[in-house]
Amino acid sequence: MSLEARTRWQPLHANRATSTGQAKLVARLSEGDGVPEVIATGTITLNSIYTVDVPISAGGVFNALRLEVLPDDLERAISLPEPGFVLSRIQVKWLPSGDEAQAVDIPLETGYDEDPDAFFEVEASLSDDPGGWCGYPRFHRKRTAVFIPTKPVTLPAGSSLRFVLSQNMQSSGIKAQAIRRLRIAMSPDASWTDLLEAQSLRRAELNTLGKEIDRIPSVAVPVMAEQPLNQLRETRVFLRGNWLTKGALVAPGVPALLGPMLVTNRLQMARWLTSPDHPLFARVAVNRFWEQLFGLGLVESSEEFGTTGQEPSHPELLDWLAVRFARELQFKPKTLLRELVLSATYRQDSRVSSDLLARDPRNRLLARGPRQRLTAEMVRDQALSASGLLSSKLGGPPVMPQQPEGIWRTVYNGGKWVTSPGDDAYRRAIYTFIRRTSGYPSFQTFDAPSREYCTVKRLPTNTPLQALVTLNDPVYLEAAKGLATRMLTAGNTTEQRIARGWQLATGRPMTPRETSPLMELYRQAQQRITDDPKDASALGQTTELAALTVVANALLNLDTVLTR
Amino acid sequence: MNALTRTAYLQQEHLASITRRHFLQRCTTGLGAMWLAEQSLHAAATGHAALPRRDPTRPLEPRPPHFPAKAKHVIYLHMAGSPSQLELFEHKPQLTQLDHQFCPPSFLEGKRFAFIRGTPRMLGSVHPFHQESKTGQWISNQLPQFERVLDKVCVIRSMNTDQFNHAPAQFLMQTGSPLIGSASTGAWVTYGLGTENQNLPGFIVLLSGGRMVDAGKSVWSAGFLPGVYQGVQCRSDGDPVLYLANPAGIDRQLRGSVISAIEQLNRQTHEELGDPETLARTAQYELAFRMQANATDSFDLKQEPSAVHEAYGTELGKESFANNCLLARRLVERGVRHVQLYDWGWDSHGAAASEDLRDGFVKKCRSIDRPIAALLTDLEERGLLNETLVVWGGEFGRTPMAENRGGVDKRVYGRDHNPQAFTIWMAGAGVKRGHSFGQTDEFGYAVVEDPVQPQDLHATMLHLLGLDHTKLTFPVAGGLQQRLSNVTKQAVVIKKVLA
Repeated sequence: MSLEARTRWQPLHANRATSTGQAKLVARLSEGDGVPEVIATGTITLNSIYTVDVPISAGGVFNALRLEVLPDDLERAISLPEPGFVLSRIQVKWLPSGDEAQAVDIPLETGYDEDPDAFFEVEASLSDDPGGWCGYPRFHRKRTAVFIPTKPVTLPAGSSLRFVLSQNMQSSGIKAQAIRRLRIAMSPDASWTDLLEAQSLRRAELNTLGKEIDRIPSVAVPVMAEQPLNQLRETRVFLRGNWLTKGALVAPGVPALLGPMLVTNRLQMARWLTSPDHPLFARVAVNRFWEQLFGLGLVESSEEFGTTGQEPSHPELLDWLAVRFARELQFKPKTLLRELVLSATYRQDSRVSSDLLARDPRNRLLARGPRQRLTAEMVRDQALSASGLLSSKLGGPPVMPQQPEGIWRTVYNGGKWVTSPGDDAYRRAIYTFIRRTSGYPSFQTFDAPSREYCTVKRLPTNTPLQALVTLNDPVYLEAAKGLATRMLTAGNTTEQRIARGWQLATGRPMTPRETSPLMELYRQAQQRITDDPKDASALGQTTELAALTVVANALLNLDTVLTR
Repeated sequence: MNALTRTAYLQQEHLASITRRHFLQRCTTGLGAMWLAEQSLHAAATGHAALPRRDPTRPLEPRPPHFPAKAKHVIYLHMAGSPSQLELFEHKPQLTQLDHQFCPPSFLEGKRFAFIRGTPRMLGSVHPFHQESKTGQWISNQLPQFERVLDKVCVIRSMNTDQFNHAPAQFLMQTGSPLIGSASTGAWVTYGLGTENQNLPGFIVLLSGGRMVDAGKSVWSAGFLPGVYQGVQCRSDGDPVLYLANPAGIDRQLRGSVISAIEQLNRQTHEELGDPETLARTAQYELAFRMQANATDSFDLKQEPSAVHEAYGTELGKESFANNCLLARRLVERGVRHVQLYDWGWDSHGAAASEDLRDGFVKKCRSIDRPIAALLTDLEERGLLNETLVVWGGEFGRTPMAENRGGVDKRVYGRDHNPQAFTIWMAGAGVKRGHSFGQTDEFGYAVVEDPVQPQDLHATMLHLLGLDHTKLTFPVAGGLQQRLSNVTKQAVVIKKVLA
């Protein structure tokens, strides 16, 4: 039991309570438990300062003061938290008589909060520092703080205590973060004063330990942890999905229709789900890997293996892969992927006769190799890679590659899109800064999801806007220039250079038949640039480089390049 | 939901691949089977004769409506932030009598507000009202130009919604659901009807006001519909369509050469591999090449005579609502199906001068007054108003109480969000002219007659376009046929606003 809970507290009844601004303070006895309290009514103004006077009828000593702040409606607050409060500054004065001029400050040494807040520290309430004891920005249960005077205070009967409570914090949406229901109590328990001494000893020790901790290298990534038991929030059913209408209290568990299972927390859930004996996990996993490589899963509805899902096209293959993945391969994706790409099925030619196309237009029967358009991210990464621009840097914060002016707009925070300097503008697509309300335009054009839902697979489309991206987006023009620069160094003849570009873009050598349209394009580009050299320098310093950039631009737009 | 949608889709695709093999022979993309599946399911579910099949290589090709349509195009003017109906359309003398008095407790019981706390004061309209001569309708002095075309519009005073924050309320108004991820009105309209001009996107979005709509780009997304139906955000400055212009050094002729080389090489690829998708891709490059010319031309406001610029109040090279109105007319003229304008800056809370009903609000009114009047007049003069549905409105209304954020009476005047009542108007094809529909109480706080929910508006819009809102559906979540008017709501076509 905590010291606070062991302590015998003496509730204090205010005889006068006022506030600056428009709030009205009322001292009353609580209807529920008859405890004296002060409530704030009316419109609470920002920066309200409360002054609460408490008569000391019997006299005596006090070693600690306890403040409790409660939600208006304790029961309702559990499901619908109430506007919070921040006690920016607490000052306690002793008034020997009614004369305010004789008020004496009672210095407070320290304060304790029953569950320290992530935002603000209770000790900040003792000074003009920002923050302070709080339930911020909303709170749903009684909050308790104990303040200890520097030394025990003796109060003669007939005098009074004055509490001056400043509240300067506001929050978006709720605004004035002010106490709405306050209880004050004091205690003559000397254990509190003893704490002060212990604490000053501890402080030195804590400082030393703190410095040692600081010397341990660490990462600045917050780690998720469960709330301590006493701070757990209740979870209730939202009736008809409405978060304001709460139904029955619920506890973690699995749907009853799954039968009795010993799963009560997330760890158990994860272990159950990924157990090698689980009939579904390995199947779902191998099916998704298969889908990544072949375009369609063995079970086409890769997101749905339930009753509304589809039957597998090759059930025995799926079973065999699943068992192999779970047992022999011990869930190692790389080994599985290696097996899949080395399989005879995957390595088939993707050539298709019109007869086969008619019989199996979508290649469900796997009589040919898979052929699909690259994903949004691959389209970008491939172009950057072929051009030699791709940065291989791993990890770190997201980056902002080039995007046109006026597209990135944020709703509330005024954030700006500033193209990342140097190599960071050419990182792999997965490092791109993504905001759901303003996605990266060229990814969206190539069917990248907007991230509003978890998406297991994407439906590829084929639109003119995609052509405009890879033809004209400055990122792709730069890639073309980069590719042209690499082509230039590849040989002495134009043909050798174009062949090099072809190799870099497609990964295979160029056939003579493929050469002629590109040679023709090169000649046309050269002619255009010679005729009208005005803007050609944007494509390359020399006519040769500029014309190769035009060829590279075409290369990066070929069906064979955009498809795998 | 997306995942489930796709499941449903794929299931039907599976069915279709067995039963309609002949058609599939002509399909060039995987999507093709899906279109077909949707069609056959549609026919089976509704018992109606199936509409013409969708050609998967031309997902935006024009499609006939369910029944003869009044409207062929939509121009939707969304005032993001929600303009105050009490300073524009709702004349409430009784509210003026209560001006500055504390709000009666009955107004506050059981209500939740975005910003109002404690007891606010009532706020009478800060702008004077008068009766417009032709229609007899009351209107404030903030829209003097628009007032002259009031006889062309149908004012709906009884809109109400169940969302009191911007983003969900905008989603509800624009997609039929307050949650992110549903298909926007424009996406449904182009899904239902395709678009007439294949050289321009069918659903174009134009922004003004300097900031993004609160709900972000998802408010014009295709949601669970295929991605081709998402709105294409165009700019009134710079390239109208992203990456439309060729880069410096590549002129149109040279671009033509590049595309010709791509076409030749793709043809070789197709000969070798036989994948029909390759041909479809080549077709998209040719379309892109045509779009470069057509879109550039459509967005070139310089082509308009000075009298038109004068009428709209356009300023070349600037991002403005006026420019967007003129662009909307040019786009509709060229056969674009749905043009969606979002104008940001109507959230008149009174927290700053820009949100003051006597300052920022007045400037916003000035920025839309002339362009809207010009747009309606221009459309009519060109014979386009009788085939174009124009809709104007925000996502909710504003309170008859003044806002008291932070518990202080403000030096500037503003109002909080009020989902219970707001005013929108519709004009053009098939809509009554000079008409007023619906009634609110004496304070403009809640609807008392002919309530209209967003889904009723959607049903009505689709009706005017010749589409039955219960039949324009798409399978989501394990076979549920979702629709713009949202299956969870009882949506009705508002017959009384139809001409």
